[in-house]
Amino acid sequence: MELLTPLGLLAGLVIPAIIVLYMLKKRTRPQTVSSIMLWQRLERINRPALRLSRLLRSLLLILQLMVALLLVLALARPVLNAMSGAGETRIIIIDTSISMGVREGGSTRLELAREQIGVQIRGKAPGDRFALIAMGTEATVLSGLSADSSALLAGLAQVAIDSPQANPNAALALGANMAAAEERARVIMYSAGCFGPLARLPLEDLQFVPLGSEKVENLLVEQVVLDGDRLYVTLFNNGTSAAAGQVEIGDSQGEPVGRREVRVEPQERRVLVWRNLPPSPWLSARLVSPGDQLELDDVFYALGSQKTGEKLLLVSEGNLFLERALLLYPGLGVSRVAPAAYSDTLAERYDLFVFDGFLPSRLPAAPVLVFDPPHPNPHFSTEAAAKVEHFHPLPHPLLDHVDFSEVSIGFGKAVGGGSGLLAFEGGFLAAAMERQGQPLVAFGFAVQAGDLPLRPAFPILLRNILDSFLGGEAPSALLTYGQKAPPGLTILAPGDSRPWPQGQKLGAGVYALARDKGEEHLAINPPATTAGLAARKELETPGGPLSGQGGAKAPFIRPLIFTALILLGLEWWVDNYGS
Amino acid sequence: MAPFDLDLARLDRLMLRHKGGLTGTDSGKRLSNKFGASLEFADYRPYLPGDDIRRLDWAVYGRSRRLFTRLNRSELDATVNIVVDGSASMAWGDWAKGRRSLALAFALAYISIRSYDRVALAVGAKEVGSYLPPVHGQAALARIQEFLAGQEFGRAGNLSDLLLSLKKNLRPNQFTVVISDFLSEWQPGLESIVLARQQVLAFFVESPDEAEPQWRGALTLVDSETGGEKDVDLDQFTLAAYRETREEHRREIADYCRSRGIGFHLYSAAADPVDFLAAIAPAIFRTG
Repeated sequence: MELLTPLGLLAGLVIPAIIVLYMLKKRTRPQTVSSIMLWQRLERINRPALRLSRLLRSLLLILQLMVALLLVLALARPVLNAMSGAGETRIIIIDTSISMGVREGGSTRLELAREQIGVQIRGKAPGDRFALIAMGTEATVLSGLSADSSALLAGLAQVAIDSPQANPNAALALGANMAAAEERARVIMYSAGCFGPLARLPLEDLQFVPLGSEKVENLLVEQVVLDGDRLYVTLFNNGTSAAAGQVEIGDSQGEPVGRREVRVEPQERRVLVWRNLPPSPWLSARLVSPGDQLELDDVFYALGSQKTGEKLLLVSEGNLFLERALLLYPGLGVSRVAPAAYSDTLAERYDLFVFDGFLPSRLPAAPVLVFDPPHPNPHFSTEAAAKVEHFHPLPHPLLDHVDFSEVSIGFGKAVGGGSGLLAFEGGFLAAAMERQGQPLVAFGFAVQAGDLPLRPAFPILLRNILDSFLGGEAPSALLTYGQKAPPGLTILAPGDSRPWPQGQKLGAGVYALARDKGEEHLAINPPATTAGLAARKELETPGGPLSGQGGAKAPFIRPLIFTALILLGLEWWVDNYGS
Repeated sequence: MAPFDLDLARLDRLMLRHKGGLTGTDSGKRLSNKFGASLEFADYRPYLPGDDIRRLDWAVYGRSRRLFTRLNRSELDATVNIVVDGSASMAWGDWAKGRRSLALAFALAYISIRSYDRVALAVGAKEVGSYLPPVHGQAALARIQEFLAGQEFGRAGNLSDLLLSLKKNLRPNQFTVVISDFLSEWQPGLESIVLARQQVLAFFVESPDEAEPQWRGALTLVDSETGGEKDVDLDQFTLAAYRETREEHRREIADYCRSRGIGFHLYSAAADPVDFLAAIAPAIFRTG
């Protein structure tokens, strides 16, 4: 048994106080009687009634001590370690999508989940091991399997909402992998269940702990676009009844520049337009709506419109890593064709090209990025693929802020010509060169040849390359809400000149990104969803519905107080029957 | 107005029953073992010269031709000594045991006076404080009432000492009625008046407040006579033990009285003395 509030035991001082009170002489009131002769005889006679009276008096003391003890225990909030079997393994998946930010009964669903999981961790048996997985758009391990409660609680403290939607399949796959190596492992998912049907369950023992209720009122700022002196604010009522509120527009100095009352019917989308707004690098739209249960999506920051429009052609058989990373670049239109469908006519219609495992016979007259170039090819020299034991980055502007320390690459080809970016035993693993007066960056390995796409280095590397191809003026969009500030980037906090601490999660706001040519503004908005926020009590799985079950057993305060009340009643009965 | 607000007329035909051997000084209604001039036949004896010829039984002479003189029993008066415990405990309680005891004493005195008996009254705590020598006749009722009405209860008492001090006023073969709450030493006193050849009646007076106390909780009981204190946590069980003790005390007195030929009667101060005496009349009275 463990006490969640050990300080509550201090109330135990009342127990010796009760005993002392019993030892003190009772304060009596005088009562004149005709004679005390017969009363004095009582003490000399050991009568059953008197013996019972003394016994009941002792019983009163015992009952009062027991009541006090139970109440003191209840204050200390004990939990039984027996709630979890010794040696059990629990893999706890916590939904970190925005649906968990819904506030119900004073606390959000996420806070409720955190409390319930905290109870489990604090009340676990010494041999129990827990793991924590955050279930956002991607699954993230917050804490690996550990029996260390403090480490688990530290991992639990990191849980925060970071995604518009949860990806249960990814989280369950990760949880199943962790559970597969354990003998007695259970996977427990704390979620509001605001996601679609699950794919095939990768595990048998899944417990779903539903959080929240079915009725949610939510008016949100879905999108804000700043176009010159015009501002378009899109509101959406994601609740079940009409919602009224006030939209306040603020400039970069925090000064209010607009305000409107609005009423939106359920599932209605309303666009508000402000014209002739004073110039400002960015604007914020803040929604104040009484009854709104989700505060997180009530604010949205919009930067001034960016001049983009470049088009990029990805020539690849299919590479999700590359596609997703390229799509992160704002304003860049990305198209993909298979190598067989590539033709010279296409080369004229795009501004940038990325070749993945392919190179055309004639290079387009545009910047080109190549991964895993064919060996040999007519444009630059390569070597046959070889095992890469060690490699290291070379000083180059394209590798600014790119951390290769945790990156490993299995096989690669040496690339000849141009300036080297990465070097390995066989020469340059990557190089930057010019062909036909256009920049060309070639990596002698496939994106999937190592864990590069899984590292923060990958999007930053792509970003640097595309920046250099496009002139490097586009603002960064690498960072998202809830992401930790990556090392190597200097980010200034919103409205502050102090750098944002590395490792600390980014919240909503407009950050300043320090770059060589000054600062870039970076708007980070909280996740928002127009999908339903109503909590579900069961999950849809291919094998049928999976009903929700209760979460961690709360400290057994109720039984303690119930027992104390019974004893109190008994004490009252004894006291009244006896006097 | 009737003395002590009692309906004494209901007691007119009652007379204390005696066991015989009473002594008296004047003629009364009580038949003695001596021959006298009452109408109650006792015996015959052969006529002797000098006998009153009015006592010759001519019917017997007609049948036997012998002269017999009728002997009748003598009728004497009796002396009834009524002792009232005058200690402070008798004045305690809502029901005023003392006042009720005086009324009971008056009712007994009334019965005795109506029976042509002499009545002596004594009231005291540790000794006889007030004493009314034997009086008789209807005119004495006023004196008796005046005597009783003037009594007060406020001293520490001892029933034995009171009875021992009364002994000098007693003559053999008299009635002695003791009215007390018996909340002090009592046995030597009762023994002394038994030894003084008294026909004794004991009335154990108790107040309902004493029999069933209504207080509860932690109390310091203060003795109304001595001021002595006793701490008691009065709960249901202590009260039960008290009741038991009180019953034992009463039984102890009753057993003693039975063994010594003393009539013992429990009198609740809540009861009217006339009602009480009427209720126990068959036991201690005879109809005159």
